[in-house]
Amino acid sequence: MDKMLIQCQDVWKRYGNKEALRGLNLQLEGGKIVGLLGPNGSGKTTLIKVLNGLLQPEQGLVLIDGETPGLYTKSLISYLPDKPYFSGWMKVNDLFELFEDFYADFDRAKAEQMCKVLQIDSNLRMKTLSKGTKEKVQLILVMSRKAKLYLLDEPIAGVDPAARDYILTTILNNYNPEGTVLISTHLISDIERVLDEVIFIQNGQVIRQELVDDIREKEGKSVDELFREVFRTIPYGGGAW
Amino acid sequence: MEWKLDDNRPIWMQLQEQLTRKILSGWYRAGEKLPSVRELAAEAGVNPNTMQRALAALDSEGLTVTNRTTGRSVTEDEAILEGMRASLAEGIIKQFYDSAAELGYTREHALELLKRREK
Amino acid sequence: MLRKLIKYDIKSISRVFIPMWILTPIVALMLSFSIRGMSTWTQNIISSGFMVAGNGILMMVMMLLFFGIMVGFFVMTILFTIQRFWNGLLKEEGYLMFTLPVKVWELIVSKAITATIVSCISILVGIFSSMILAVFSTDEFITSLAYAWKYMFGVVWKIDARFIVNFILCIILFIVMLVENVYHVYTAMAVGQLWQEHKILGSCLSYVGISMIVSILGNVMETIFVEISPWDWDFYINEYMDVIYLLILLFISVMQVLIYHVITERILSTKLNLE
Repeated sequence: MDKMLIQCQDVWKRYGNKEALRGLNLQLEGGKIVGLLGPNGSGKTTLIKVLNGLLQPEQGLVLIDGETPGLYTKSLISYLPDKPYFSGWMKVNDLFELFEDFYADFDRAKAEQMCKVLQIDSNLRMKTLSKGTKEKVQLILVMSRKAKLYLLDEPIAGVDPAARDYILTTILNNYNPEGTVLISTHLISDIERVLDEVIFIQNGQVIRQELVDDIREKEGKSVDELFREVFRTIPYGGGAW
Repeated sequence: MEWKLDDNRPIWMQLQEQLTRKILSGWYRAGEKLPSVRELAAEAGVNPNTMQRALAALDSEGLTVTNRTTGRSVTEDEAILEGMRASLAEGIIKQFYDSAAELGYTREHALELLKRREK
Repeated sequence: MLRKLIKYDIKSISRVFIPMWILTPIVALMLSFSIRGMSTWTQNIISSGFMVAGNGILMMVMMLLFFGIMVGFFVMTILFTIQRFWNGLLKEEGYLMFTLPVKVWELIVSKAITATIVSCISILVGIFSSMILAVFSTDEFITSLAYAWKYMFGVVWKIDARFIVNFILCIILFIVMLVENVYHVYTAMAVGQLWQEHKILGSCLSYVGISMIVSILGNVMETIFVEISPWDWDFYINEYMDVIYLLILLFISVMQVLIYHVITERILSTKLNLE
């Protein structure tokens, strides 16, 4: 068996008595753009945080490039969180410096170039930027790394269609082709064209994992349609294992 | 030339069809070098792997040739281009007859209609 | 990596603390001159035996004001120590810090070192500002200080090798105890973030809980080693007792720091709960 980039075996994560991941299994190889699709509360964000080491599962095995989350895997992963994580006093330049200091694969010239294109003044402090601009800066930082695994948590939620296009094009044009991009979202129709593969997640389990063109070929329908169908037929209500 | 993609059919097939049309219509001329996979993918707004698959299909049909040093270009073999053009035309004609048949026209009647229109 | 982390932590706090460190001595200086001005002003009327009481009250108000500033200054230092750890590691900013390719212990040590440096500088600035206030507000202070100095070092202490050793030990002990207090707060927050809700309340409760455990352990140790131990402590009491006593205190504090560090590191490595 060749080496998988992501391997999860029987991963459980609880918040109090609420189970976010229920024995999740997942295998993912490198060099792909993958959609992590599921309704709200299905465990997408939890899975991403388990992969990047922000959450520790109670049970199960998580391997990234053959290693459990730690120093090595953190140097491989470029993570876009679902909310901004910067302290307001930092200037855009300070952030570039920080990324340059800690990530060997950060391409500062590229980041500066992307800022220039968007006409973002890199001497401004984060707290003075609008919400949309902050998100763009964050995307620039994440995509300026030549990472092995990009974990993008809801990159297109809550932005207008034009910004959505900008974000998707930025991801497509800048990701490291040898790396894998995992994009979580519930806005499938906007994103399905750029995906190689989709993972459907529900109630903390992977219920389907398939190549998107295989879905179109076999089912004769778009991923968006399939998604609506799958999540309609499975009856709602917890405790389904 | 715009890329028109429909999410209900495999994207790579649609890309292959549209690239074929671009080549046969002369948008890309015989022997012309094609943009890189990444550039084409960005232009169409699709994943580079998908574009790669479409281009590989063109390669296997012989419409494009890949050279290790110069990249991928449109074939200069007129026979292949002509053959491809003919088979596309074949498809269009077949489609015409099929659609006419659906409306209840026989082949002869359909041809008659086509000729009458030409006058 | 630790050096880079410390660089960022210092950068993030210096923008708040440097102005404070500059401002406090200036306020002290201004205060001392206004005190001096008032006392000469009242001095002139005192001959009539009239404003003595008023003068005292004014001095007292000024002193209270300065005292208030100093208290505020230290409260801010403590709050900032807490805030840098809480917001920097356990809230959104933690998303960034815990995804950096650094070890968890480096994150904690970097915060602790920064907090200790800041506290030390704040204390020095506090002492310096008090001195300014004292020296500039009255003429008598310098003479009485000089007198006290002479008395302490001439009569009470003798400056010899022994004194220097004790003095250095005291300073080290002071710094280690500072680190211990910083870590006490960190451990409480690390435990508090395990709560599903009311994380801040959880942190406060664990702070109190840890204090109680430490004091119970202290009592137990004392009972074991002093009261029921078969050793005759009197035998050990000798002329180096003061040095030995300081070393024992130092040892206890260092152990506490180590234990706090291990607990905090383990919790944040294996039970991090960034939701």
